[in-house]
Amino acid sequence: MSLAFLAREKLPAWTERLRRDMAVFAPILKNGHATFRAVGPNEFLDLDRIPVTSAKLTVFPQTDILFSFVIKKNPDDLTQTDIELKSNLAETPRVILGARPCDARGLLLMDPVFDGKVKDPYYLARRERTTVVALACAQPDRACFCPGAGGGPYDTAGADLMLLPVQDGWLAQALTEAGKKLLYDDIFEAPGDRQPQAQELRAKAEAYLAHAPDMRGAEKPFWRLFHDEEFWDEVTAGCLRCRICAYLCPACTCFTISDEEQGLRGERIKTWDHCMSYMFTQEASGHNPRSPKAYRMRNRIGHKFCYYPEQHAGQVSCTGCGRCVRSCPAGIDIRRIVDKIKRKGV
Amino acid sequence: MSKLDLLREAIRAKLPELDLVLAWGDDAPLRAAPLFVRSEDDLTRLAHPALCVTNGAVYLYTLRSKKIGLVVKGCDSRSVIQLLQEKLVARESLYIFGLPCDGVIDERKIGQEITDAGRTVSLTIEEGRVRVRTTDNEHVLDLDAVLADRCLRCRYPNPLIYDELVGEAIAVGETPQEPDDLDAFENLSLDERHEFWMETMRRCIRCYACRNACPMCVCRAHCLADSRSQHWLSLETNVSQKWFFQVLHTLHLAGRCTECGECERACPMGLPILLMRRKMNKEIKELFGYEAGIDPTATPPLQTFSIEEDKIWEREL
Repeated sequence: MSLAFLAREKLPAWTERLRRDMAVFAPILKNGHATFRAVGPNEFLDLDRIPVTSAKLTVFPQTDILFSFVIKKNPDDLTQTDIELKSNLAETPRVILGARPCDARGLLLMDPVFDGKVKDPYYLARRERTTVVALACAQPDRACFCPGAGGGPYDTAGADLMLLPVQDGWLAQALTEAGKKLLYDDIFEAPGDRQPQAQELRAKAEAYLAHAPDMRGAEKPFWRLFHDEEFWDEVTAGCLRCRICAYLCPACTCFTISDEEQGLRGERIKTWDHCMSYMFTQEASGHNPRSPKAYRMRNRIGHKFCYYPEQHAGQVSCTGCGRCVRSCPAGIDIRRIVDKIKRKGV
Repeated sequence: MSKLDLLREAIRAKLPELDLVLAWGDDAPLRAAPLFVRSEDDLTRLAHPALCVTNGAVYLYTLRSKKIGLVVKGCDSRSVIQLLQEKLVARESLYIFGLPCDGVIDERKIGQEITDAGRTVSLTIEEGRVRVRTTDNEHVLDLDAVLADRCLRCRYPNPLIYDELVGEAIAVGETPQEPDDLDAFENLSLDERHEFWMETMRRCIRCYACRNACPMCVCRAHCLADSRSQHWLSLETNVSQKWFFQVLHTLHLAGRCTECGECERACPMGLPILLMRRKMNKEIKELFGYEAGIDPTATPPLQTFSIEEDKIWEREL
């Protein structure tokens, strides 16, 4: 596939050009933290740092208003009410600019959940209109382990267009027709002789990650340890039960649905849920089958490294992006937990 | 013996009498993680004291049925005092190893100083300097430049409560000047302050790490923010809901917060939320002359009342 070159100083122009036709979701830097969000006018992207958050909010926003409702009273008989509904399907075309290969893979892992036997029209409305411009990772860090989850720092899975870093910009490689369309003639140039440089960076990045632990194949050991309460207590001991790991995860899909009302008006919303919080499995009766946090951690790990791969040909529900590792305030490292499972559950 | 060796020996000697000891392990080069010492083997993993940022007091409430050993820095000890004050943990179930603290390293500050902090292989501290080895480079930084902000204004480097002091107490010099960020904040107009917090809240992801890392947040599953049967907060991720929670948390901590800074450290977005708690503490100090986490027998001012408060002129309102 042919390559084009995007000069570093042309990035703002390209972003503005894309914004004409679609919503652009990209990492924006604020106080040293790059996070994905919809880019506003003249905002500068940061493609150097590994973003703290993942790009999943592009297709699976933290709060998704499904529909709004108004309860209308019959003026002649106030005990009679009627309800007016207004659906809210997001149909704006969108592009993720600077999704890391782990973000792009995250979309592929979410797809079977929202586009399986049951279709989620809200997810699909966004997903079908989303173009993914992925940025290869020339500088993975010590929290990264994508090769251990089936990916790689230069993996193209899930991408429409791939940006390969070079000294003065990026080499762009279109992988789909949708990706090709974004290579505007007035912004992109001929690649010149930059390809060897890109190759060299790639080799370095891949070598850095060569020893990433393999997160796959933990299904059987997991089942063997399922009832080992001491084990789960130990690996969960430091967990603060906050929501960072799930909220930053490009593959976590759990959500909850609630009606948020004010008087006779309201909205039905779908919001990110989190399996480490007590409320996650709180039942209406008051009983909670996963009351201790160790049970919740077992479910979290089980979902990612056993239940999901059992249903999806061994693919784990983890992209090795390392975001949970980087940001966990209690220093919990999911690699260590899976490693312990594999060692102990033999 | 180094302070680390002294600590290891102190824990080793006491471990047979305790269910577990809460200390710090050397899991990552720039920041130690909580270590739950259950056997002597675990002691090989003790981290350098300068990396021990987390506050072990956060785990005490859930472990209150056990006989716990806890290693505390000065700031951590104030959280323990506050928990004792409120009878949330029992003194007799605790054995406290007091660790005089020279300050802890803020890994985010290292990230601001060097671009490849994420690729750190090792960190060593030598005479006021920090040597960071990364995959491709070696950096030498001033220790003062990478110490946590809370350490720069610390007035209690020595634990205020302990059963055993590990190593020598640190001579406390003059009270450090408060960095002027709180003064600067107070000099803003109300509108500017409001805009500052709204902008901060826009970046909040509502992960509740601030709440859960707080040793004084003991409501756990009964937090107002999680209540659905009383619908105090909606699940929307908008600025007003996020702000509502921050205000709620700050008010709940009024006169209880010991400024350990764990809320701010835990925040994945790096939001300056401790500032709000510090402002509240300043108000409490001015109004009631009270500082949290100093005296285990005191009562927090908002958990009691006087018929006539010295500084509240309600009759003149």
